[in-house]
Amino acid sequence: MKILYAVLFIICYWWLSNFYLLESRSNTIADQRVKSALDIATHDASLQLDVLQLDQGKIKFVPANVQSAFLSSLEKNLYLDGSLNPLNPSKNILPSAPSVLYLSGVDSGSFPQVINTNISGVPLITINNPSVVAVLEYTLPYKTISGKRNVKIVSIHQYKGY
Amino acid sequence: MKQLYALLFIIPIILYMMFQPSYDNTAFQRGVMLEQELTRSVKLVATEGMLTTESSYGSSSIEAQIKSDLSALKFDPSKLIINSSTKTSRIPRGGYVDLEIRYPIESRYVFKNFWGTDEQKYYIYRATEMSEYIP
Repeated sequence: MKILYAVLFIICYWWLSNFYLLESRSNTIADQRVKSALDIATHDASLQLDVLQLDQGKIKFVPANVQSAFLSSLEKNLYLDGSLNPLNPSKNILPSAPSVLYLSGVDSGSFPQVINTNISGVPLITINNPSVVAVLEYTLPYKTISGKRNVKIVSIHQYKGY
Repeated sequence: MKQLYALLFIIPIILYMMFQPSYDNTAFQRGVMLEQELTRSVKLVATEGMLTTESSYGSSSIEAQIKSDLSALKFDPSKLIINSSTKTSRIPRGGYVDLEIRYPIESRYVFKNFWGTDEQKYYIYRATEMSEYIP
């Protein structure tokens, strides 16, 4: 009987640790995918330039277009609806809606420039050129330890040489 | 005889517990490699405005580059499925280009098709990015 208990304990321990490992990997994939999607979104937002200013060799972002292109790109790559909620929460890599904490097209002032987002956990951001800067926050669950992890990531897309 | 039966019962469990984590890790790492390749390649597609399938001006096509990169990572290029809605015409700046990579998931379990119910599953990764191509 002792052996049976020992075997059961080992199986349960293995199952739990393996499940935790799988969940960690799934969250690693989520981190990678959200970072890629955010980088693509800042890239798309950075293409929203004022053409007349561009003719004169100046980089000027159109703020309304920056925001709409950024959100549209996030929706496409992370499978979110118009209010950033996951289209299929049970199958989506993000089970809950991410929130855009900061989004700005910085095209004025002197460079290099230090940006203070005033968001706790996000360090000062230094940019050397006109850039689109975004900070996104999302939450990933850890069911095996009944916990969750809040992540804030930064993405910057700079126009070098301006 | 009882001990032999017990051993026959326990051995598959032990083998599964010993080797399944390695199989899971391999499947995970290959997925990560495919996704990184997709992220890199979709930027090339955005620059060109389309998924190029034929080499031009001495540089290989994006499709050939993806296959070459992945074959260097021990993926079989003949099993790779690369799709894009922009294979025929270039999308100008402001439009969206997309890229999808599919590859069959091999060796997911220690005991392959043990219950006879395994289906072929695929890694499927998609990305959409705004085109930078200026005609």
